[in-house]
Amino acid sequence: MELQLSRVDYAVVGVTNKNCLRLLPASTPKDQSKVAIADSEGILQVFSVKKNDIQLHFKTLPGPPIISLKVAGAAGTPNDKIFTATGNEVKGYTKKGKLFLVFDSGMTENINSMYVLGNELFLCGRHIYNHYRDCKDVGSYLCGDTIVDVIAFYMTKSKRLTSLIACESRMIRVLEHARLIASLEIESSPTVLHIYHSDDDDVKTVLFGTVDGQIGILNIETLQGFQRWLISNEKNSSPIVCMDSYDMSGNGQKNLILGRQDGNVEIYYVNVQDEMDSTSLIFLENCNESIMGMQCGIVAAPGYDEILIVTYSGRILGLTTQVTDANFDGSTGNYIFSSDTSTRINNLKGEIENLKMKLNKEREKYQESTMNSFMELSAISLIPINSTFILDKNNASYTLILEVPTAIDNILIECNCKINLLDVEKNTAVISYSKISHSKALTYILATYRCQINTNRIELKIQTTEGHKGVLQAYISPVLQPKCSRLLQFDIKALSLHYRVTEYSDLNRPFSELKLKGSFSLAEMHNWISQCLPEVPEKPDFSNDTTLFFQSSILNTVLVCIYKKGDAEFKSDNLMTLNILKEVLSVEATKKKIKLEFNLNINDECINHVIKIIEPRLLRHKEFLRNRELLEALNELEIVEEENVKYLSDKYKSILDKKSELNEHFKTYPDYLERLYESVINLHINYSKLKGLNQSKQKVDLLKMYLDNYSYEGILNLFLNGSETKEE
Amino acid sequence: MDKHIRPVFTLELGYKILAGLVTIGKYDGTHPCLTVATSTDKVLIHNPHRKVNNSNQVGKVIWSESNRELATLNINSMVTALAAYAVLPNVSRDILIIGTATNILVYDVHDNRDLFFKECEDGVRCVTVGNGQMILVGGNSSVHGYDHLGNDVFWIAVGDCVTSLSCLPDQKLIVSSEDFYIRIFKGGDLESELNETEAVSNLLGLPNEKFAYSVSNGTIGVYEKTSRLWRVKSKNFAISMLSYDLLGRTTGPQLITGWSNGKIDCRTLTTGEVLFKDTMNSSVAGIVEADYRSCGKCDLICVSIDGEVKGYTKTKAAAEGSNGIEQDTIKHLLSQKQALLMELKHYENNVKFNSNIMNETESYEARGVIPSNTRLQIVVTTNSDIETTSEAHVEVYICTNNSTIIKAVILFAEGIFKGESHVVHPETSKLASGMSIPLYLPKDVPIDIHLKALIGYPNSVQFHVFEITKQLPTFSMYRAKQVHVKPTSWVEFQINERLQRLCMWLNQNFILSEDIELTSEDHLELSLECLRDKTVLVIRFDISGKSVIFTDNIFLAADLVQCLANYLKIEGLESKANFPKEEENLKLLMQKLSDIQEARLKLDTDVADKFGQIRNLVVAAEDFRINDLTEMLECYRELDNVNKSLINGFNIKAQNYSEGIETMKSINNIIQKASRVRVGEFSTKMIGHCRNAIKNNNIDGLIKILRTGEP
Repeated sequence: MELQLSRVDYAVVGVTNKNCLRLLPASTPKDQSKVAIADSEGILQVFSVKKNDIQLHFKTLPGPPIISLKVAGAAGTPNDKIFTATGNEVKGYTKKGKLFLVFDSGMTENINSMYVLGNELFLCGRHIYNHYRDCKDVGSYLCGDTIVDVIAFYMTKSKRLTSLIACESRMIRVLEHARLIASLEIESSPTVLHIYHSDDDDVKTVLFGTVDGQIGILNIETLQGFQRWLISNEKNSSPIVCMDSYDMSGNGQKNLILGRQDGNVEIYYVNVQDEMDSTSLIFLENCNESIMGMQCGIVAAPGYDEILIVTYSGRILGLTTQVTDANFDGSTGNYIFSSDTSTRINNLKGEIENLKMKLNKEREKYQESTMNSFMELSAISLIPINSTFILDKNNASYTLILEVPTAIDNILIECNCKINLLDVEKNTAVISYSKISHSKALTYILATYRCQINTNRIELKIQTTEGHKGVLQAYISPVLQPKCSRLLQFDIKALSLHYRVTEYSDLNRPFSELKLKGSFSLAEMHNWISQCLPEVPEKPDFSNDTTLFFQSSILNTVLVCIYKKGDAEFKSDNLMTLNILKEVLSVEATKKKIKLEFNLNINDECINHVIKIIEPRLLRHKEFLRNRELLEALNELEIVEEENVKYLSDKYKSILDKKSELNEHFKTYPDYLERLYESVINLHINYSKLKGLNQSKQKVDLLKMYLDNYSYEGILNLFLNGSETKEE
Repeated sequence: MDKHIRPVFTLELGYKILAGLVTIGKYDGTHPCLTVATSTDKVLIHNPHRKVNNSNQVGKVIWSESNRELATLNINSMVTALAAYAVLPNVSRDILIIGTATNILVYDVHDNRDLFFKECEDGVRCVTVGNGQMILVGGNSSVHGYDHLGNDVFWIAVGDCVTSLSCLPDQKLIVSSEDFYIRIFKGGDLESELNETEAVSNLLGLPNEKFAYSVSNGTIGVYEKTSRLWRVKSKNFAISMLSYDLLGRTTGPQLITGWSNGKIDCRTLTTGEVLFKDTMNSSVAGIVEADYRSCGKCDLICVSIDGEVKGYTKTKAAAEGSNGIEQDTIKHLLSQKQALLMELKHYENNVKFNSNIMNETESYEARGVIPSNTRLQIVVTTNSDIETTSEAHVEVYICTNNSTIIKAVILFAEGIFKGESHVVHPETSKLASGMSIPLYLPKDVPIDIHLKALIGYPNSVQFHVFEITKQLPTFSMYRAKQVHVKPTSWVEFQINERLQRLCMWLNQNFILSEDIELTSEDHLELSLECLRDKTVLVIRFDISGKSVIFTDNIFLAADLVQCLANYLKIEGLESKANFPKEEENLKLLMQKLSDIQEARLKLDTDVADKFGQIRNLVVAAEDFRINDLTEMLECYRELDNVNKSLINGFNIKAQNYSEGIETMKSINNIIQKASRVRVGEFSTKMIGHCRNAIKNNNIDGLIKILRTGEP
């Protein structure tokens, strides 16, 4: 790494929400800044760091969770006013801790994100965007989509106040005077927006982070939309939670600093203007917990730049350019504790002793209450759990991340549909599967993960099977006394391996169609679709026909849904997708006692098309398998020696060259071949169902045989002339 | 706290190496050579110190032409064990010992000659040297000891395949086998027996009567004498262990473990705390220690299965006061504070909730609020109604004392489930405040069950976890039942103990619906039925001290005797045993074994015959090539036939061999169990007698020994 930063831990606060840490600017640029931090216990505190220890300036009383914290100031004054959002209320504090503003926004939703720019205030709930000037409502916008972040700025050229809202269904909307002026489609769900100011000129670039770990640049001035990816997710696809731009390397150019959900803090050298100037990673540190807030500045010591970070559980730490092992005693060759640190450690120890004493009393009290027979209750507040359940498109599986602000003891996983739990290298927990007691049970899988000590965060990989819908339940039990277990539920949709796309590129696909007619409303149909498919917006677009595009992460086939009241049309090049849809929709409609009229138009070309999609992968994978076998044989030779390599044929030489690539492939795609086989077999089963043909075990066996000794004609024949399965 | 220690050297062997088969030997007496077994049935010797140019090679070792440091030894059969020790009297150089499935080769690398090559009927699973330069070979059911000439000088029977051997000082030997036991022998005597939850894969003797072990389910741990100091379980399993002082501590060496995922970690011997870790690119194959750089210090050498070698050395500087230590301390203290604060908050919120209870509007059931006097009760029984279709089992019944329900139960216990836990998660419609969990215990050992019950309401999103730890008695899978016919087999022995005390023993070691009490003055009798196979067990103690256990199961009898002796602290116990079925079985097995041995001899001569034929045919075919092509073809055809029948013969031989192994194992097993119906010296003596009887193929003698313990 080009940059060397050392980690310093400052303090702990309660569990934090996204973007609740800001620095208050100091009077001169080289001076230390104060830190403002708000947590979900509703406490806002401002502190500064002196001699490695924190000095508290003020602290508010606990209350409802604080959702957002921003620092701003009226035009011409320093940006030292603190704004916090709680519920649907915004509070303003001066840097001295004086409450100067309590503003009830009057919004019907709770505030999710906030942005303050001079005397302009922007508040967003889940669907509502509100704009206030001097606390007066000047406009609002209702969005059919979930809003995740909002920013606002003055356009460089037109000087017009523009705000951007990032929406979950892959859209960034541009608003002026609360009117939508552009909708910019992006390829992945955004999580955070950031304005990158270049120092030299007053050019603003808007960057956004995505749920799959990428950073993209938006072309705002021209409203052209997505410009390019600045950072791709090949190395790390963990969601971006926060970002900042700051000159950390001290060469006059701003770096981009990212905080990710997997605890990574990354510093990149970036050039947002020039596409040819490639991005490079110059620093990386993992903090073991989700990064929730981050800002760069001078905190601990004057003149030393630092990244101040708050993690999910409320740990405040810094990554500083100051060399911390300055207390190396050169004469004796020993490290000594500096006196500052020693006092700090002693203080902490004292605090812990006090806490322990207090806690013992409380424990006794609690124990007593469990002994007496009065009608007392044991109420343990809900354990906060930070969880994400996202589809990893690259290997068509789901990643479930669970994070608790304290150590996890064990996790129980229960699911009522077909899933596989895959091994994750990073995950050190010991898994054990439980036998399902009787075969008729609704439970498909029961497994426990017993975590190793000090595990706060756990990552599970889950492989789902399309056509099986259900609920995944996770019971998370932390080590913390009194022992509790929190239940979380995650939906597994019938077409779980599909993801939403804005459009599809290849227009030459053959399509089969499924048309539905019936007395259903638009909302009902929308609801049914959201039962089948992930990433469906919460509310349908009432204005015109709703069209949604989906792509399968395993076969890249597409699904187009066009629907309105009483009428729906589904087009796909994969018959399996249509059959699953048909089955789920008819079940849902029957539940509501709505009669549906199905009209299926099967295009046999689709079979050919899907097999053609699978074919190259299948063959490639088979070749890999074969090469791996050969590689093992080749290893028998003393191939380490130059001479021996000379005698080998080109083919064998190339296998040897690709050795690591081969091994890598098998690591990333375990049982890939089985999944491909499975998709062909499922396709056949679904095709037979749609065609009303009876399928037999022999046919499946025959199909397997054709797949083993790959024969395109054989497979196609088996599909199209379902009844004739003669062999020549 | 992790320290970073960089490897002092790395190299690539370029061969695939078998896990666990890595050793180091000073074959010339001074220079250590890394020796590994490859996946291609070769033994590879890496000698970085080799003087070039003694090219006049004869013998088995072939020095590689291109890489001067490597030599190979073709074994042509899967290597199962590898060790290098100085076994020759008064010679300091190490001798290489190579075990294959059926043979052992003891080879002097320096002189390039065999010391001896011996067929081991019981197979070779692992090899070590100890007890005065004796080569100890662990087989499929026994441990054999050989001297440097190949004479059979030592023998002990072990119940199952030996998985690992390690020597301790004072002539002690630790043996682990596939029946999950670790046994400690002193000389030929069984000193103690430790039960683990799965087959132990590795043992490592340590100073101060400690030893480290690793289990195939991913556990590693350390025992001191017979008590376990610590253990940890991980999802990978340990391949190799070594004690080495990597961090230069005053407290002595640390335990270095190589794992199947390539991780290497260094732990303290006494607590298992991780002090250092590093990873290799692939699974670790072995860890050894030697002065590999000729610098007078021993380095730690780690070898991966892909042939990657990393060397580490003692690094004192890194251990004391690393630069991040004060930050680490602060970090640690802050974590502690955080956990305390969180717990405190829970209690505070609880108090707040209770004082504010009238104003709580939302349903408290959803948030998992339960009456504070909720209790979880547990009852363990053997299920009594055998009329039900389900198999008989031990039943754990738990229930709450109010309207709360049990959402799920996680049972952690070792050795009775496929994994380490068993979950009961009733369907939403069947949630109730009580449930019973059937348990099937495969073995008669005491088991601790840790039960975690999630208590709340059906629609709660958070549950209270109630934890109960319960020990199930050793003989849980038996229930009291009146019987009229006692089994014909029995063990009889004399113990001098008050009947009251024996009564207590029965109550403690069986699950009885009500404690039995002494009803008769002169005897105590309890009849039971095994829940596994419905066989009958009757235990009778007379006031005279005569005690009889009636059971057809010699294994059960042995377990009962051992358990009783343990309870009453009896050091030596002599007993009479009468197990007609086992005796019959033993007779048959002995007969079968001698048949097999006969057949083997015949097969061997047959093979030698065929070899002769082949030789002739090859020569003849070469001759005919010159003048008569049709005859040549005929020759080759015949050669093909002979070859086929040779392969056939081989298959028969292989089957004969595995049958032999099985038979041998069964015999050893019976002897081992029979020895366990005696205690202490009587048991050891009996093993000795049995061994003599087997050597002389004296079947009747053997049976007499089984009955009386004496020849």
